[in-house]
Amino acid sequence: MFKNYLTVAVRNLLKHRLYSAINIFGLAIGIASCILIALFVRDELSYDSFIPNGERIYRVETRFDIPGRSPIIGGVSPGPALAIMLKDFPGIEAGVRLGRARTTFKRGAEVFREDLTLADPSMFDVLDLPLVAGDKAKALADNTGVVISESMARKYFGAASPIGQVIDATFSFSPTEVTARPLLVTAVFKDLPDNSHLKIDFISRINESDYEKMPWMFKDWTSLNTWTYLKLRSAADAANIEKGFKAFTARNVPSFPFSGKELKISDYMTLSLVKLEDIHLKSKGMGQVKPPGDAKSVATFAVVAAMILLIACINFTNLATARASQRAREVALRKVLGAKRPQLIAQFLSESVLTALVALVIAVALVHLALPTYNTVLQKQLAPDLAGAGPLIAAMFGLIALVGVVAGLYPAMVLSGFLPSRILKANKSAAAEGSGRLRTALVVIQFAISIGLLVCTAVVYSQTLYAKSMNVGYDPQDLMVVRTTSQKLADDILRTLREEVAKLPGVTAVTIGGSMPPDSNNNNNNIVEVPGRPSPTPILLEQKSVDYEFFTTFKVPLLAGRYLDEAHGGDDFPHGTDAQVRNGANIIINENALRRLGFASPQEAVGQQLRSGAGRAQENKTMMLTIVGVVGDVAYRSVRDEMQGMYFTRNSEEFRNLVVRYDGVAGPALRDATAKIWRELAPSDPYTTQFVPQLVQEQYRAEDAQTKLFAAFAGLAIVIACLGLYGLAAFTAERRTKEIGIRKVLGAKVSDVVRLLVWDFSKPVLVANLLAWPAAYMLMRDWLNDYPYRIDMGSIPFAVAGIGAIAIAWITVASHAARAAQSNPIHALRYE
Amino acid sequence: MLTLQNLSKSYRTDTVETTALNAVNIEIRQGEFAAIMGPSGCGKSTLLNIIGMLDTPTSGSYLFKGEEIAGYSEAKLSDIRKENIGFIFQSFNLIDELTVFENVELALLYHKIGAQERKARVEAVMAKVGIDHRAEHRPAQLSGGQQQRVAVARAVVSNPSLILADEPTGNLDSHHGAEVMDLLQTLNREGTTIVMVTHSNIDAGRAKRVINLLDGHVMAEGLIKAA
Repeated sequence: MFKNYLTVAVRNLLKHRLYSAINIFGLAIGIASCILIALFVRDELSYDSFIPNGERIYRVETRFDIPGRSPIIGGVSPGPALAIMLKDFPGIEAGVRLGRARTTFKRGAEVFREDLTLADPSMFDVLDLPLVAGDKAKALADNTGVVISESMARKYFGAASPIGQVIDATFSFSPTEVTARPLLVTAVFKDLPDNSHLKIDFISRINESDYEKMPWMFKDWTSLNTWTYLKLRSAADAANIEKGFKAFTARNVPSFPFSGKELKISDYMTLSLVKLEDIHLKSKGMGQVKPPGDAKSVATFAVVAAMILLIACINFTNLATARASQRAREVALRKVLGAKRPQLIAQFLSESVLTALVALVIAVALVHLALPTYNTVLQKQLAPDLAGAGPLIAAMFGLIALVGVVAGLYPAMVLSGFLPSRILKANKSAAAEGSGRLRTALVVIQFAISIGLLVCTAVVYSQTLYAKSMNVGYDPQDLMVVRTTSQKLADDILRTLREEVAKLPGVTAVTIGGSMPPDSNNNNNNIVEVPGRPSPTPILLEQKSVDYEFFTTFKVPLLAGRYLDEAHGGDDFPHGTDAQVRNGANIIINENALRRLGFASPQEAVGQQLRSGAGRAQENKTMMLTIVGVVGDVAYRSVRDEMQGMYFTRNSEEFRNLVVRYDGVAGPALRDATAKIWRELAPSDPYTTQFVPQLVQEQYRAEDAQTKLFAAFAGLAIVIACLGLYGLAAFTAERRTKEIGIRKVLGAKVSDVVRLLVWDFSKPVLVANLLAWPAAYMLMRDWLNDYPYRIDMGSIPFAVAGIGAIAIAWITVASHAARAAQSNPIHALRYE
Repeated sequence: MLTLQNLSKSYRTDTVETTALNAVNIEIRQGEFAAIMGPSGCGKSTLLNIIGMLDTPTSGSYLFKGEEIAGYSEAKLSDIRKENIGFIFQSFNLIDELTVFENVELALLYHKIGAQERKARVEAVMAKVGIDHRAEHRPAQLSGGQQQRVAVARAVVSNPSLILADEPTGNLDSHHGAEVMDLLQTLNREGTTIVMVTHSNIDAGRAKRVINLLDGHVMAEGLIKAA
């Protein structure tokens, strides 16, 4: 029996090649999209699942809510917190702090700049990375050991056994010195998978006494330099512990006097817990080691996948019911011969499942073809790991069964319901009239989805374009950054490097400085006040250290006053707390700070003074800052983040980077020329350059990828929907041959008939627009609301999507309409 | 074999009610070869469909082998039909996608019969109607007469006690028509009851009995001597 179903199904597929091709390719594209998106979603949801006991591991996150500006949030937490937490919360079984050290490692004559992860010795009690060699208990016994990843073991030691080997490392334990320290390899861990929020190559023990000259690293409550991970006891309730954090910060975070009042930092600070597996998708803000994912886009893409599949299923349903008349005779005959309705339903369902199965095979091939490009766009290494992936295969077949049943059920019901007595007499066709209306409704749904996706694509694209072309407050073109690895190195060579680079041909300006745009760090926030103008809430401004030439090199426009200038001795930021208190400093503020401080105009601000803390918070000293100039807002981060109030000082202690503006010379040539100078000055230090335009683009990578994927999937949705429309048009033209014949006999011209048919197909697309527009509008309004700087949606995306869809629909049906309209009516009428 | 008593069938659309059969009384006995004749629209096909359980009467009684089936469900009728009745149509109604063999075999697929036996029976019946050399051809590759012989083979392969034929020669030339009628007569002689709708007096002449229908009534009945 089943063999007979199969025979009929296969021969039917072969006989009606157009319909079969539309069905199978539509489904294949739909399934392929689904698989691709599913791979992405699965990857995003699988982060950090390789770490044992993940359900009990949490990261402590910090948030500062400062009135008058967007909150400062991050995955980092204060260094002193963990030790006290372990005493205060019995529910915590173990905890570990991770930190980062800038190091250079030597291998023979070569020097590499490496990110060393610092960890408490409890590392493996919490984040139990699988070791391939060494002993977890002893690996981090003291600060002379290092645990390295398998790939780093290969990089430094090749095939030799890494355990017991020594790496010559240098550390910057103070702003001005570099310490050499050989590290003994004590253990080797398996490389972390891509789907981890952690990026660890080397682990060494945190030794707080190493950082006596940089006490803020681990001892400060408001300088956040560590990540804190907690492993809770099985019975402990994370929500309960989180509740206790309010009292915990009130007890422990020191307050300090500011302008005569006691400023309680804990009032503005909130600690919270994020589950290990949620960190990738839910943790936001600063201190993310890798670009975080976004729960919203994961959900969005899952919905998009479902919709594309739905469109493909609709094609199947539509074409099957449209073709019902052609199958009617077979159905009737089977009934005459004794088939019962459930048997017929089973037959048609197995047919649609078979079709879906063929589509799956093609889809898998399509996935393999698309995967390299897909991975490039997403910057991931997704692969359908078929080996040992029982669940994945099961899921695929489940999907096929689902698609087959969803798409085939309605046609199966319609076809199996035919009354044989009506059909068998004289081969009458039995197009189910009711199904015509259903087909139209389904076409409306298909196009509503497609148009909705197109609108979303257009909006996402315009927003990304807007973001990328938004005025960043400086001219990012033709700027190159050279970075140093330590403050010591910077102090040693940066000034000489500047002099030498300035002599290179094509170099028009050079500056050195601390934090220069683009820079995603949100650090060095200082509380300031305008004397005599008390503010009800603390005013927090970011402090940026730049050299005199910064403004001219970056082309930052001056609104009032003057730039920092070497001619004014007071423009140099004093070194040491006493000098700061005694002399104060001159600063430049940006427009945002101007508003935040409450000055009416740039001119009014010039010459005004601000009071700010001096030295470290614990020292309890203040200094006066004099505003000598006001500049436009400079975007350090992407436009996803609001611009913040900031002021610029010339604090040469923080100068670490060099920026070159060039003209009339190629970037790479300049890079090589600079490298030559670098190697003379610092032969044993790695040379790192970046180009500012690329760095700016990098900030929009996630949006870029999203836009590309949206566009691709929206395009696919349209293609599938049009495939269906093409099939329906072919069918309709065939079915209406006689009607067209009569119309032509009665005097209709070819153009009249084409217009008639095209108009018939335009109606559902027009209705689809009316459904898609409001839905897309609401969706996109919410999406745009996440951006402080956003486009006005306007009507253009809607018009583009709507007109585009109608045009595509026209092109799709026009050829059929034209062919039907041109046929000789005699043939049409004689044939029945 | 079957008895129709006071059997009526009417079709209803939104506005019009059409009576296709009006209080028809017919009895067909085992082994009979009956021809139903009458002008277009007289209800011949409706009658045949009701006898074949493809349609249900509006009122009246239908006894099939002594069993009242007028109120039976579609599934139940399907079972009785499967066991007892074979159909032959004017337009053959072969499935284009299946070969001759597969078309004939289709009639056995809905019976629980093993593949071996199916093959044997299909081959036997194909030989009987003289199309065994065409087993692997598709219907479109056959002449009309050959197609109808395939249809006859399909109708008889399940050994039905009753064959219903709706103008079996209507689409055939006289030569091929005669061949098909020969087949039917042979089957009848072997014991199969046959009810045939026809426009053709020649075909009707082959039957043992002629029932004339006009406007849903049985007009006259005449037993015709077997040829």
